[in-house]
Amino acid sequence: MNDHQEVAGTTPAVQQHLRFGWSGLLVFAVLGVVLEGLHAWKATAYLGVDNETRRLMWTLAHAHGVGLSLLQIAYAASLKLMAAVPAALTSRLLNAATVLVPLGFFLGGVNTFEADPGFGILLVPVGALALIGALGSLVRALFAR
Amino acid sequence: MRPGSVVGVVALLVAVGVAGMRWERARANSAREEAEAHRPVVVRDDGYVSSNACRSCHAREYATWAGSYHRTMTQVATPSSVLGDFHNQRVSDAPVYTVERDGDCFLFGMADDASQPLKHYPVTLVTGSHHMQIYWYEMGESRKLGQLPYVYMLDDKRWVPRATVFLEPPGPKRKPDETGRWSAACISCHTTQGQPRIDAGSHKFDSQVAEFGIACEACHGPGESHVQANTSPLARYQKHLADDDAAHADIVQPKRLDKRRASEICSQCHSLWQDNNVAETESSNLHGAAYRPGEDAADKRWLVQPSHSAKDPRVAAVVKNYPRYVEGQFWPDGMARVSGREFSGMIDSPCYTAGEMSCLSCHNMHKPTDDPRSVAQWADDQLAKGMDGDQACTQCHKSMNEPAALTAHTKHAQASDGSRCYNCHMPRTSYGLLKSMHSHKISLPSAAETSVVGRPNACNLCHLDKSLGWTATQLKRLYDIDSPELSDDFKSVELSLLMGVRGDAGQRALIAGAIEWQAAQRASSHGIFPALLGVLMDDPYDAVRYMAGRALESLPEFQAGSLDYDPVPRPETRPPFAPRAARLSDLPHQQADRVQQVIDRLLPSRDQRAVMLLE
Repeated sequence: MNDHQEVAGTTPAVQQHLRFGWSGLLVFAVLGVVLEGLHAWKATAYLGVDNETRRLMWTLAHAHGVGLSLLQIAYAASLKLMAAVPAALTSRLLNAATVLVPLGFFLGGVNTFEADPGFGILLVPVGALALIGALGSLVRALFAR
Repeated sequence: MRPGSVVGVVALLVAVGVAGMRWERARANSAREEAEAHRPVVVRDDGYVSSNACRSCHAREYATWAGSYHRTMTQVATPSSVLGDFHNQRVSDAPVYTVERDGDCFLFGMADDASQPLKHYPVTLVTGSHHMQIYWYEMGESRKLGQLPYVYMLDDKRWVPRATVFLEPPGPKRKPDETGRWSAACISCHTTQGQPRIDAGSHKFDSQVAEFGIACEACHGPGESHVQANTSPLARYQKHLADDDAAHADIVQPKRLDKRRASEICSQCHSLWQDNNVAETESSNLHGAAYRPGEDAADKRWLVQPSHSAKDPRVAAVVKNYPRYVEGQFWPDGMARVSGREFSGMIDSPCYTAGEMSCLSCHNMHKPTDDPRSVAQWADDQLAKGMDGDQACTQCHKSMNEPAALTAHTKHAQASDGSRCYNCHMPRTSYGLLKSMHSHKISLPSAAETSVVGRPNACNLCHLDKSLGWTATQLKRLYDIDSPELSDDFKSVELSLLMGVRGDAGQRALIAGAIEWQAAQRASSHGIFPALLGVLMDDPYDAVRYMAGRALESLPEFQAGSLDYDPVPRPETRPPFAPRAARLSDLPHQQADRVQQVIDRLLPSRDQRAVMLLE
């Protein structure tokens, strides 16, 4: 079996969420290294007392990005175990949340108003609703007879 | 697991958590009330919410304020706030005073003599953290505090009697006689919205403050409505979009006020105010000062400004009826002579009366982000960026930015101390904290004022080896200022010698402070300093001795610590230091004899009036 040989039982949905999840982990691993670099070089733009909000937002972007990427992988793994396939909407909502939540935190930290994040933060509640919708849809599918 | 079971478990956990939190809060409240039963307490009412409420939104402002000496004006005594050496020290033998530490508690021990058992009191509040720390102990009588009779000097790392650090007439060794003073006096300027709550009838103290130290709301006013108006994120983002003055109307921003209103905020503690009548004084006692930042301060009370006595009968009455009180704070012409009266000086300055100068022209209560100084460096005087030099003046007097114009004006080399605006127009004629400090009235050097008022002038505070007659001649020659009629001594004797030997205790302290000043040491020959400082090191006033000893040690020709001089013991209890000091002079014999003869002639005519400077 070579690296590109197709695994029996995979579906396009599984493939899509695995790609999303592992790509996300790559992106947020890079972001993590960048943030560590900002710590290492004591970047005022990130660590200065004036920039506490930026630091918080970018930390949250990193943490949520990693968490949601792992959720994508977990979802892909779960799909094969589930008795009933969830609606396509679940996938779309989960993907939207994986993009919007970390992106909102990141953009909210780019431009801040003293202790308030910039307007990019508005993406976060939208993403959070998408995540709740995805989870609700998933739970519903699990309890469906 | 069934969904109903999940809900039940979650509900049970929430109920247990809430009950636990309520029990913990009740237990903590009970312990706190017991611990605070005999000291002033923080009570947040009347719209005050404390700096903690500001912190979450204003992190930078909070951080720089937290590094300032305003914050530490008063602190609860804790291992982090107490800087004095409390390692079982006996600071006095008769009466016996001890300071001790027991875990996180600090104790003051007191007995009339060594044969008596020590009575211990918990040290509960701390005043100051810049040059010295004063400590207050619980007396066990309502919330009344006593003051430790010894003060810890932070630079010298030693305990000294309280009478040493304030310029006051020498007297018998003090017992702790400042009981109740914290609530009666200190509370108004060392806390935020202090309320003495002293019942004159029962002598019970129930003192409360909105916050210990000078906190956010001392300058911005009570913050409750601001916090409420900005709790909603929608409200905050509306303001971010608007970004105009109206959007910030729920809190006072001193920088958005006019010069008078902005400076009156500082004047709460940097000048002297009186309530309008007895009823308002009683109200201040119960509820704290009625004035709130941003308001017209003169609506609520009146300013004790002796320079205005001709136009304000209330001030004239104070000048007439309380001369010692006024003399302890102001020169005879009404200019402030002690620290803590900076507003009083500034409002008599032409830069304020005819210009736009305010306290905020030079000072900044929050260190700006682009200021390269550390918070500790900035906190020393809380000067705005660049305002520790000529820029403070040249921001308005722009022509003086040109070196040629500057030297033509100052008649001194461009880079010299004589060309620095502060040195000539804000000379060190104020006393405070065992230092001579810049006057905050922007003024011109005047030989006439020195001869009539007794205030040393800028020229002679730098040229300490010159007479007042020399100054008068230079002012006439360089600036065409008419010379006043001067006595022979003023014409011929170095003003530092004349004032340092014959002046009152306040003048003597300023001369000692001037000798310690590096610029004056550079501008003057040092020949007369040892003999003069020797006289001051035997001065009856502790504060003068302290400053004179420090001045002698600051001279580069003497090694610090080599003089074996302790300013604290009374001069009558030890051999005089003056002959020893005089021998340190490098003056030729003939000149040294002349200096000694002048000292011997002037000393009997010293101004012996009791001076108590009320800084």
